[in-house]
Amino acid sequence: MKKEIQTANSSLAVDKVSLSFGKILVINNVSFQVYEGEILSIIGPNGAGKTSLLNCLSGFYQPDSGRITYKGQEITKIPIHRRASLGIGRTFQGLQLFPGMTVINNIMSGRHILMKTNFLQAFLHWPWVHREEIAHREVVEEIIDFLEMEAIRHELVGNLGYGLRKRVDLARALALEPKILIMDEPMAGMNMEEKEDMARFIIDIEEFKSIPIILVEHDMEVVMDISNRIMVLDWGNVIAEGKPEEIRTNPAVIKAYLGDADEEVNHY
Amino acid sequence: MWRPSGLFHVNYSQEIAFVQTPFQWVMLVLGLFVTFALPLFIPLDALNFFIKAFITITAVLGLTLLTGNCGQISLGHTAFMAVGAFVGAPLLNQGVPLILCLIMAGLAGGIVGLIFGLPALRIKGFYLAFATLAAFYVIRFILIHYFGGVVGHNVPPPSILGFSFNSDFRIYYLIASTCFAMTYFTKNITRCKWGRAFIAIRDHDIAANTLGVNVYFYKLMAFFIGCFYAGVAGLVLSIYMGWASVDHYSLTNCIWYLGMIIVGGMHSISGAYLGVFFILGIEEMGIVIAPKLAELFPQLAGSMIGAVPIIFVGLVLVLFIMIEPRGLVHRWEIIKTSIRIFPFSN
Amino acid sequence: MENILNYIIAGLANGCIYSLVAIGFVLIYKSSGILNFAQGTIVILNAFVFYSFTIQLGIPMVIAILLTLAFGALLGFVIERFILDRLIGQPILAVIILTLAFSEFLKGIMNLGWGTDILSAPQLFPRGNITILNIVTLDYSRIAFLVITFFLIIIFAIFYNKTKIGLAMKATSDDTIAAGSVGIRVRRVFVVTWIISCITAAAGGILVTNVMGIHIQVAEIGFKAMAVALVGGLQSLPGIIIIGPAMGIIEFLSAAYLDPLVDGGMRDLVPFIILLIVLIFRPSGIFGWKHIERI
Ligand SMILES: Nc1ncnc2c1ncn2[C@@H]1O[C@H](COP(=O)(O)OP(=O)(O)OP(=O)(O)O)[C@@H](O)[C@H]1O
Ligand SMILES: [Mg+2]
Repeated sequence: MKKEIQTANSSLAVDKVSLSFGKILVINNVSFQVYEGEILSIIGPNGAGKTSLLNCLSGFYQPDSGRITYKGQEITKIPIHRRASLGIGRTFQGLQLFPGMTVINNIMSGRHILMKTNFLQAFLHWPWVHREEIAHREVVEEIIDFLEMEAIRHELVGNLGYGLRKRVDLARALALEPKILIMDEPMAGMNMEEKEDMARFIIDIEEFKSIPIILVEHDMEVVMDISNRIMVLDWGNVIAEGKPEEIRTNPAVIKAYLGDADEEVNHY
Repeated sequence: MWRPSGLFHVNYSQEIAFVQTPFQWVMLVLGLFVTFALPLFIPLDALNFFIKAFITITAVLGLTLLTGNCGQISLGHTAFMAVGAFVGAPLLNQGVPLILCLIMAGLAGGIVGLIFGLPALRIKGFYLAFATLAAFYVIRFILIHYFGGVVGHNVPPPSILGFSFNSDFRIYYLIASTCFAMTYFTKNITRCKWGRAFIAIRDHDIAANTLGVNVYFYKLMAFFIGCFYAGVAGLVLSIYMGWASVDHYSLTNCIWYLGMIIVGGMHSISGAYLGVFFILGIEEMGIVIAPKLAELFPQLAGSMIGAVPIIFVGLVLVLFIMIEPRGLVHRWEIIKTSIRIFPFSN
Repeated sequence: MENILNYIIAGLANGCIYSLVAIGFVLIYKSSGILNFAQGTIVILNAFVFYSFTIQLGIPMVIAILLTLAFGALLGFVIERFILDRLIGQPILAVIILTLAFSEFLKGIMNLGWGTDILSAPQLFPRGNITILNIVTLDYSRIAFLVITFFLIIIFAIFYNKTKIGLAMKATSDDTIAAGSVGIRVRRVFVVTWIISCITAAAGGILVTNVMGIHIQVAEIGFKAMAVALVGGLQSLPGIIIIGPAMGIIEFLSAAYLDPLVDGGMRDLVPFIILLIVLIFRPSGIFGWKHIERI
């Protein structure tokens, strides 16, 4: 069912990245590649360093060493906001929306880098500003249709439930027309139905927009179902990498996830 | 503004239009008409109240953008007004055209604001509030020592195309038009990508940053724009007073301005109008009552006139923030929704 | 040479008062996350009350001092009970404007109650001075300042580090929720914090007006103390105890040597300039530490 991924077309390459906070080594010499058109899942126990790794990709943390290249260009040190213009979209683990704005405006703010209105034009509301707003609004409406959020478009996101907010977060990331999408636990805290919707959206994005996706997620079933490839982090180290089937049976992975429980059992 | 429960826009253009319903059109035209006809009907004291209100709204709109929308607290706003006045007044004296003077005053306020906004790149919240307070004192010092501060500048009545604004009656028109123009500009800023970038920074600067918003740039621009308003309002105030002196730009006023945006609900234009009229109304009550109180307590008469309005406004603000820290607009929204969904509200 | 030393000593004495006042609101900030912009006004209000007790009512000095400190405590209690309660969790702007508006309100009241003239405070210490080794001339009130604030800070340090309620305050400032969950009565800690903060304000008020006279403008000492707190680092009590005197010294030196260049006023400006510079280069203050945001 899953298509074969061309390992020749690398989109993002992480090369020997390490990161520490004080004396704590959070990411230890991690290297991996993301290929065009694949869904790469990163899994690992709580505190494994998954979010920190994504933060290095979006520039929020500076790795202590190592290189990150995106489409052949080194991006390790470029400012956070420039990464969006390069086409790196990102959703967050917690709720990092703009609660004071409506759903529409949250998503419209994702169009920021694609809109060209300068200060003077904005001040005077040049006719062209008006036209630009409307053109982008049309694109945003397409995203709203795509993610099935028509009914809530004028709500303040502060008033929405958790599952819907996650969807707005995704819509906002899609709005900047990313060439690669990074998602941090998009299904955390969702009920079954919402998870199914979200999984469907992720597959659709990969299929219709044909962009690679990096997915961090705790729900193993979903991960096994939709990923092309899985990478397992534990204490900042990559302990396994491969197809879902391989990961499912990998002894190191089983140990990392169940290790403590096993020891506990052995005590009795 | 009242809207029917079933308002449906047929295209996106309507949603961002300045005026959205026929009712709003009527209100706008009526409002403009009343504003410009007002001086013909009301006594001079009342006119002075409106003049003060329109000047204050001009300044407060700047804070609405800077603090309300972009989340950058500025306790230096009146100092930036003073900068506008101290740059604009000498220009007016030299016969530079009024419009140009207003723009120059705005630019001066904006540029100085941008400079003192630099700490905002590294700090926020209480730290930034206090840094701008420090800026207030620094600017005041510079104006007093190097730009003829305590004595200040005389401001001659300006004129446009030979029409001289030489009475309160005439100045009213100048001030009301400036205020409305600035209101329109505020609406323009907030209804495009700039307004969204500001709110994004206020609500979650990190998320805004990952969406490609250059947070540094937009914060500085927020300072520039907000203080541009301050500069314009400052010059307009000095035209009304006929004099530019640092004493007209006190810290107390700055506190009131910020209080006004809280009362109004922080980030909307209507909130700014509401807050200004509410607080100035309270102050006016103090001004009216003070002499009466002075008769009752003759031994305190000396300080009554100065103290009572401040006590009134201070107390009202304290109580207001304790009871409704999100402002009148927020309360109004709640009432409005409960009316709209009437039988189902709780 | 003598001159410099004199300025330094005078600055040191003044700076100690900054530390004293700064401790007041740093405690509040640490425990409840609220920066009280009204602190300076509370300082001067206490001084006015002290004036009324001594000069207007003729109460003996020592009793008047105790009464003023008690007034400070009461004020702290009232503020905590009626105002602070509503503030926790509100937007920062609301907190700032509430404290500033409260401060303006108090100033209005003081204006009514005591007028706008500079009142001369009752003499606490004998006039006169001693000269040491022909180099430094110290007047008695400055010596008293140094000794008293030093003493107060020591008492405070013992209280904060050794007593049960002091330790509870410390725990609350580290982590309010955790403190609550181990059984510390957080509200009571807040009350005590405010009371202590207002008592230090009262002590500061009594001392500082002794040299400066009693006048509403003295309230600006609150802003200077706040500058000291931010330069030192808001979380760091030792930082504040060090920066206060340092700021006092810089202030007096710049008044002496820079004023002639800019015709006056440097003394009141220098703390703010230093603050702006420090905030740009070390946003969390010299002894503070950065709070890391996570996503
Ligand atoms: N800014 C920071 N300062 C100090 N330590 C940090 C910081 N950010 C993360 N850490 C630490 O790094 C480690 C990895 O955290 P991270 O959030 O990356 O884990 P995670 O794999 O995303 O976990 P989860 O599944 O719970 O989201 C944790 O021990 C965390 O405490
Ligand atoms: Mg995580």
